[in-house]
Amino acid sequence: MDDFSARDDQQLLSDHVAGDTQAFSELFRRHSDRLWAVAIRTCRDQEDAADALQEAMISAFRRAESFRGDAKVTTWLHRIVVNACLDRLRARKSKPTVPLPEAEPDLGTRDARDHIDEHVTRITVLEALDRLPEEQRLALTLVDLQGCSVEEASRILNVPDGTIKSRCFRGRSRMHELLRNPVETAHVTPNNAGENDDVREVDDGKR
Amino acid sequence: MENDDSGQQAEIRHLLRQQATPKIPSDVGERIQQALRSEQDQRDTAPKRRWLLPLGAAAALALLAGVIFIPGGSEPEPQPVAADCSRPISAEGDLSAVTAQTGRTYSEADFAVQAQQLVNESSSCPSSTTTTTNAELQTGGPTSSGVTQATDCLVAVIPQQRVLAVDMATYEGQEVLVAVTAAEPPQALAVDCNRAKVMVSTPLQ
Repeated sequence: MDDFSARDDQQLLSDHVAGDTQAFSELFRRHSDRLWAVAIRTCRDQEDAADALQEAMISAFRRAESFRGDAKVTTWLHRIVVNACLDRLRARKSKPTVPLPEAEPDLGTRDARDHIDEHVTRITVLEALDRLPEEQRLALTLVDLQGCSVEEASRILNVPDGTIKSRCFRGRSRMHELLRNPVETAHVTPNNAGENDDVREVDDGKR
Repeated sequence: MENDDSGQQAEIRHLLRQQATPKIPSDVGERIQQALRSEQDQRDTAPKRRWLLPLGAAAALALLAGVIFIPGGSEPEPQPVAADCSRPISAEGDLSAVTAQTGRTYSEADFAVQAQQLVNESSSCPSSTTTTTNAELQTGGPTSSGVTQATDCLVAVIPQQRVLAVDMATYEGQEVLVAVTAAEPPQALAVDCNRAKVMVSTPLQ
């Protein structure tokens, strides 16, 4: 049994390029939850997220040789996942948004008031995040949900640090408004939130 | 106002950081791992096909007196080492005359001795079945695709070599091609075709 724990991400990617048949699978296994989190928050749809993540991993598998090593491997992978998601969003832009399964409150537990309050709060936070314009949602997903540094997020989204800070600030402000009035949350969608929600592809070095 | 903003920002940041990272659904994870395995299979095949390119010239390989000669430079005349086993090969560089699939596990300690044994088995063979072992009989012998892949691999990794014997085998737990070249003295090589490199090279006694 190969001891993958002794190999860091960059080593795994190098080994994959050199012909190690297990290295990339291990790389994916190691970061699958974090990559999934980005995909699901970006796509806001399970099926799309799954398809986008698969597409991104195959793309990364094939293009591993192009990794220049000037950023962390996880940054590079996140960038590819974000691009795959944005491609899908662009493709289905005209289709109605399907809510995430986790956004459905469990009505059978109404008597457990504390639990419900906590549950509703959790749902509302994620719902509010989903209602943000694309750019703000992506920035907050990376920085506040994933714990990326501003610098790392700027590399993933290929925008200046200041832009990430600005998007995070505006996104949090908007979320605060939405959370203060959950009713409003139900009626605000990314398309009428009054922000530029253009889907922009991140330059991941493809071009 | 700034304090309000700062408090709001911290509150939302705190709420978001409380959210647990969702686990990837097992079916999604497995589906992607399966897709990666398929991709790996395709990648394993593709380089071998590319290795055929150097063989585009029909004269890329020549069998002279039972010795496979992989040209590419000024080489000494190949020695008639395995005349009894010689048979024509195709223009694509078929190594079937000297390729075995013994299923043997070569070890670092006995590598030279085991490789010599392979040469002995090959040079004494009167027909194409001589190098067939029990393992080979069970698998129907070296397949034509296996021989083609072995040829492709050796052309890519050790060009300009004359090959006395080849074995699709295992070395220290890893699938390799063991090749014995007609150097002076003959060299036993364990070739990792996945990484296209020679793992070990030992002169025969």
